[in-house]
Amino acid sequence: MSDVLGFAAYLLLPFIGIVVWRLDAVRELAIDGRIAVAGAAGALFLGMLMSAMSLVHLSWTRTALFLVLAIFIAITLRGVRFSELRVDWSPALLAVLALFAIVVYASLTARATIGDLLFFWGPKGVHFQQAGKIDVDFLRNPDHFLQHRDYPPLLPALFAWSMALSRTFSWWSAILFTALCAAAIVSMIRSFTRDNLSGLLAMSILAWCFVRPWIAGGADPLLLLYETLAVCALVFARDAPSQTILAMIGLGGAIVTKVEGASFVAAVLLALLLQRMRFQQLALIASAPLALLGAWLTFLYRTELFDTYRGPGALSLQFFGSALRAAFAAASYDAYWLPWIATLLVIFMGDVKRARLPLTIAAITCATTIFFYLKSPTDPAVFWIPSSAHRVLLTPLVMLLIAAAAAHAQKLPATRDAQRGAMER
Amino acid sequence: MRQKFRTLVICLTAATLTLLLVRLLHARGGPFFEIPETILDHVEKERPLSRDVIVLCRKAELWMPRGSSVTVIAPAQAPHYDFTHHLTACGLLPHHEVRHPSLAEGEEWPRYVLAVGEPLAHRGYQLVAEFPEGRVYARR
Repeated sequence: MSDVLGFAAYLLLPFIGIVVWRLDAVRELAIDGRIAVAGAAGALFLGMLMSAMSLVHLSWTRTALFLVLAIFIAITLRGVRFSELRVDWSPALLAVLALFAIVVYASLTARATIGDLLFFWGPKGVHFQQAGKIDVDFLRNPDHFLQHRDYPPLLPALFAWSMALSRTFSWWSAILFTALCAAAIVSMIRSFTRDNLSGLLAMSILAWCFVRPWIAGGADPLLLLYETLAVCALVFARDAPSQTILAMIGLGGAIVTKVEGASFVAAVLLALLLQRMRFQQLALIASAPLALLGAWLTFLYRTELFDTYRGPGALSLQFFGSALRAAFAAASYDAYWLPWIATLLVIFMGDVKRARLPLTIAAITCATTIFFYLKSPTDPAVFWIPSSAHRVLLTPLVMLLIAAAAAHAQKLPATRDAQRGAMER
Repeated sequence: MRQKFRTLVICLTAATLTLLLVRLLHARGGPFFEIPETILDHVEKERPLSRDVIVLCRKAELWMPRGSSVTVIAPAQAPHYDFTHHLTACGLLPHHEVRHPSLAEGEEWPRYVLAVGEPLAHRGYQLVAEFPEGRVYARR
């Protein structure tokens, strides 16, 4: 029963973020895409609400959480329309569903679990819920030093939310949350492009890259979800308000999910600068992630919890060759680099110009990954790269998947807002 | 023509990765249609030690009063204990004070030690309970 309730907590997230259905770009999506966008927004809103409750010493009890959320949903629900719940069925979509079923099977038979869930994401969620807040005492305890005390709080907050409903922490629903993230990423790519084949390419690659290196239960799927939302909005949304708000949610979510979210935000902002986005819109998009990062860093500073954000060390080219070789080997995903080769083939068969933004972000994030590995004081090819590259490299891979979708997406006439304000595509 | 080639590439990729996935899931060992006991049961074909830590923590919880201090070690790994076992216990024993296996200077020994796999040979601790996955020891 606790597993069912724990999982139901994640299914409630779209209701919390349903306010985004008011945006034109979201209203145009198929139902799965709309639910996925609302779910991502809901997870961020919930995480922020819980963090705010923690700051004002309002404990995360079930009653308090439901009360706060009921007020929040009541305020945001006005003006939301529920019409046109359409899905375009095709054999490709059925194949997507079959692959999703395999991911669910892999998760539920404990074949894809990541150790990080047991080592720190799960324990943090459990202890935060028990304390009814972001538990500084738990994070400060030297016995818990290896649980990465300064990692951003969104995933533990979501786990705590799930536990608030189920009373005892449901490890199984935490694992299934990854399958939900995979489905949401594919739904976004599929519905923003209105192309089931793009969805199939994304689902097949994500299914393999999530299960092969054991990702279920970690923070990477949630990070990828926000990265997908931000870049899909920037590439496919036709009106400037939708583009800006969804990008703010996506980048904000990324930055409070993982430390790597900060470098992703920097990569996106740099790519947008290179694409000559209007400064006012760029500043607006940057404001949300920077505000959230600022808030989290201030919290870490005041609680003296800085650790990972200090960075690994000084840049050194000593291990350049071995780092590059090890990262290249990890990128094969034991499938002879098929995920990369297939995606690049699809991109170059389409209109590459329309894929400029995700391609630029993919290139920057690849370079950033190597840059951080080169800051390792010891040879990163020994432990750091083998233990992390397959997860970190998913960001550029997902950017390529979006690029592949963009290169073949229907060319939609831009609305007046987008023509006036958005970037040049 | 390009569209057809694109469809072909995507379908071939999906088919190849699906076959690889099925082979991979099979390689991670059976049984294939039973609900596993823990979330780590089939991550590898061989049973990982962390899986035993999960089961041992669940069983040992009943033998240790709430709030008592405890650590988890695999005696076979001495002296280089795997610190991840105590991290695992942190989430599974939220009502206990789970400690790192290495003691800080002047730090008191934990009241309980969960020994995964092989028995613990330490004159400061006595056996309290024994399970297939390991043993529970209490400070004398």
